[in-house]
Amino acid sequence: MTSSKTIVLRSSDGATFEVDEAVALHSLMIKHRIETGGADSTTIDVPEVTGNTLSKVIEYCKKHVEAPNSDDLKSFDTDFVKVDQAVLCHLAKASYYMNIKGLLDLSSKTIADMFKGKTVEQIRETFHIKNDFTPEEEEELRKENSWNLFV
Amino acid sequence: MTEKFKMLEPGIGPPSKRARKDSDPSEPMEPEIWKEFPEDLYETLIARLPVATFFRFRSVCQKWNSILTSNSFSVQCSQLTRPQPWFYTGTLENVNTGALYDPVLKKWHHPTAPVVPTKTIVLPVASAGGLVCLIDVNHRSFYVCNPLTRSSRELRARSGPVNVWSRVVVGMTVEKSSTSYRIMSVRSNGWYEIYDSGTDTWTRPGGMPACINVPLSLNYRSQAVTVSGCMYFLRSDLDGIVSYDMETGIWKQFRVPTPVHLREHTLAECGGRIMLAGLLTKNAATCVCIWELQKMTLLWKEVDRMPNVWCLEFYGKPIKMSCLGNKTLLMLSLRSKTMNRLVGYDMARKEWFKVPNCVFPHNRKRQWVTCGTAFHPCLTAKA
Repeated sequence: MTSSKTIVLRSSDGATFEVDEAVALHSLMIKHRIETGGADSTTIDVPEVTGNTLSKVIEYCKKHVEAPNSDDLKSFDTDFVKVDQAVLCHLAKASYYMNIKGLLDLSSKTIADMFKGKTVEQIRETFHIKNDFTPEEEEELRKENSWNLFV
Repeated sequence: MTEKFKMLEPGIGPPSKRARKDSDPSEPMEPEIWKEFPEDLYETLIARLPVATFFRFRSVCQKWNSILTSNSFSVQCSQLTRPQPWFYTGTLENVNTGALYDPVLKKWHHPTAPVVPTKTIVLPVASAGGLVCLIDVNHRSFYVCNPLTRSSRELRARSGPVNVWSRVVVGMTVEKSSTSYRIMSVRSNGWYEIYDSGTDTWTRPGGMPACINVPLSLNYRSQAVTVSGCMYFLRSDLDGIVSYDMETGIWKQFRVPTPVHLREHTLAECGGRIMLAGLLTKNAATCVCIWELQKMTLLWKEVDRMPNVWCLEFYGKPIKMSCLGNKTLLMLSLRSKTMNRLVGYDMARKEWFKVPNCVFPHNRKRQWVTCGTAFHPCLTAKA
């Protein structure tokens, strides 16, 4: 009945993408919108995501919906996140907003791998985080970690 | 320690060293991009950091530090599968502080605080859900701890007499839906007790049903395994496996003939499959072999052997083996009079790996690992 139904997704910058409903449903946010939006919800706005990012997200969903058991899925995923930092950041945010667990896992893991080698100071700089510990508290943390697995 | 060696026999391939796929750790992260990163997503990222890194990043700011104790983080962590277990081991020199082995980073970690606050020596016997169960050498007291955070608890004392000479085998399971756990202690005279952390009580359902012969000849070096809430352990007198289902309370006994010439064997578990590791000695050659239990026929089927080159080291020497961990990854200690090797086997990938010696970082002194158990590192598990 709904096998060839398509949905149109509209990005923040007005770009539209027509996708099979099954592919669109890979995003739990869109699934929810369709289920609660009534019969006329064939165009869904995704204002948090730009056209470039949305097109990539759709590429991910297509692959995972159309060929979920294919042998090259793993290498697809690995290659999918070989992108520059800006794209990766947008992918993570989009997958979070659109509630696409697989893509969120994939992008988060890639980002986590990038910063695991950084020092605490570098992390603060990267994410614009202010150190809100007092020197005493920092010392306390250092002591706690002093049984120190992580030399 | 070099891990390269030549293939000596056709048909026995060298163990492949699994390459780690790592993004370049020195790649700078541009603040301009990442300052837009939503705070809600920090937990998602942090839950995916290697365990070792998390502790370092606690000091970034108060918010990151408080993530460790937040419920949502606990939920995130429990949903992620960390397939590679770590090993909690006791060493001769630092029995109660333990040494932890991380097979991903191939590093030993040496905590300086004792794992549980007690003066008696405690030995790891079982683990589940990121927690390790330890008993003191007198088999009187039980402790549960998270080796990473040192959250620990001494379990309420059991009532009734405890025979300190009685061998005991211990199993542990966690409830999937909650954070409670159960510990099962079986003695060779057939008495068994179950501890439930939810109610903080030991129950004694009594003696064993008639189908299980008592007394049980328990193999003290072999740890129990738990598969889907069912505990399995070896008995050496009747050549078999005994199982206890923690849900239904049903006991079963299976006759499984032990492979010929096998000794020092131990049970192991990988992805629901029950395995056996042991030493096979023929003439002067000793090899470590791995078997898998065929559930339909109740026979052990040999599935792998330690590479020949590694076995050569033990040629002609009497070897003893102990198991330091038997879940998904196996860690074995092979000892002769003059040497001690730590060997690992990944039962899922069928790969052998060498474990570096456990060396104390301050004085570079080698530590002798005497006992251990594999556990899944989980920052949020609470004893």
